[in-house]
Amino acid sequence: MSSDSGVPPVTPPAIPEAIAQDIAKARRLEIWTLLWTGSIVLVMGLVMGSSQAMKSAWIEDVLSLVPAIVFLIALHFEKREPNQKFRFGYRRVNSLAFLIAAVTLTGVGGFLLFEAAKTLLMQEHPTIGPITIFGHTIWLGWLMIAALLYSVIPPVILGYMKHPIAEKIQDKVLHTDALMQKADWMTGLAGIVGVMGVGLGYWWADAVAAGFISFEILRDGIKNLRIATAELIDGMPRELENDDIADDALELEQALLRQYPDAKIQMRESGRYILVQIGNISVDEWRGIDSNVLPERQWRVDQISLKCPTEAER
Amino acid sequence: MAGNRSRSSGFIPTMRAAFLLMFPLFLPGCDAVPADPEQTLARVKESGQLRVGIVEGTHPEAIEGFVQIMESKTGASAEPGRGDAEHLLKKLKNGQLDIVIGPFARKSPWRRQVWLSKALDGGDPADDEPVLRAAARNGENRWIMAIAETVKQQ
Repeated sequence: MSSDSGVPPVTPPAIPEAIAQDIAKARRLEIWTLLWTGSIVLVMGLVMGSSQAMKSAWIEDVLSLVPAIVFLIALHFEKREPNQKFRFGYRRVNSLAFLIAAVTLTGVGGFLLFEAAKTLLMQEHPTIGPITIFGHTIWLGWLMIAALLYSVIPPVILGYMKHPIAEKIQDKVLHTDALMQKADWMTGLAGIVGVMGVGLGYWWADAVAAGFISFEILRDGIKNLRIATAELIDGMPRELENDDIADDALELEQALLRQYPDAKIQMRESGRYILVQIGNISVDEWRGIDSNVLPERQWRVDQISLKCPTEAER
Repeated sequence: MAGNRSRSSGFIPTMRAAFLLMFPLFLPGCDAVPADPEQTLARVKESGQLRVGIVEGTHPEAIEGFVQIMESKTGASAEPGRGDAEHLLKKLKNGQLDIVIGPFARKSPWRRQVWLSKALDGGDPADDEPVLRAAARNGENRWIMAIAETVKQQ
């Protein structure tokens, strides 16, 4: 049987009109992220040397491509219509992408912490030697600092631009990517502190600087991992920034309870959308949903299902 | 509702704080950088002793020019001692020698334990071909700069 033979779509058009422009903006930002981060990976790779902070910053930059890549892949799928095999469409690919992005962010934090602890425990003295350019021998540390400064600027700008868009389109992958950009510039600054510290004779500066920022990155990563897990096991919709129940989900629940006081409301999140299941209410009682609820985010309510009572509940 | 809250309110202050915290690092200026954590160059200059380990089998005339430049650069007299590479490099790692000269490949297993200079004869041999190089203690970056400049002058 053909994969899309005569199956009517059970979900509305893939991207709601209300957020189509912001989604296009987010897509453009992610393409810019791939280009800028790619150039940073190249420049950093050229001057990496044997500094631990530089190596960590480089690996962190390579890994930081992951959220942008999974965002673009998820968006590509999200636009697809439902078909015979995927009758709810592909909106939940965003949830999978979010889990991958959250695991990557956590992995980056864990990796930085491990490397820093190892350097300190083994008392590895980083060597940053000379390099000859156009006949002049200079300390490689100066080139490293220049490369690190370059690596800090694009993530600061891109991260700053991504935050409000992630909020508007309620995209946790984009939000995690903005956090990854924060991890990028923090690692870059820690790298500068580390290289300069090594230059001043403090061999431990490199690792201590990387260790400090690893805690912040790890904290962001674990927080996102908890939210991503909640989403995958059908937990209530969560805020972008923390594990609390999303304000708009609570607002929707209260509005529904005002209309149907005896109803039993269940909600879960599928990508950026909220799916609602209402129990303890008959089809005859259903009068739709108040149009004043969630004026800015009605697009987020993707499905409202009325749950038939099971034999046991009758 | 969540949409009315600013999600990036802490962003700019964090960046500003990060740059302010880094500023003192740049105060010492270029002359102090790089420095030796274990003060190798300063110790050689102050004591007037340059403790050189020469790997057995190395011809003295092949390294004579290099050692002389190191002596004039530091104002110290070389105190050569001979031994096998393993023994000498361990002493170098422990700070009992300032420099070890001998045939090492660029991809020598020792390259992570110590710093290895370019070929003393100025050539560009294959990665696995042992040629005369100077080795220094890892992390002694000013001392390493001084050795690298001497290799270049040769």
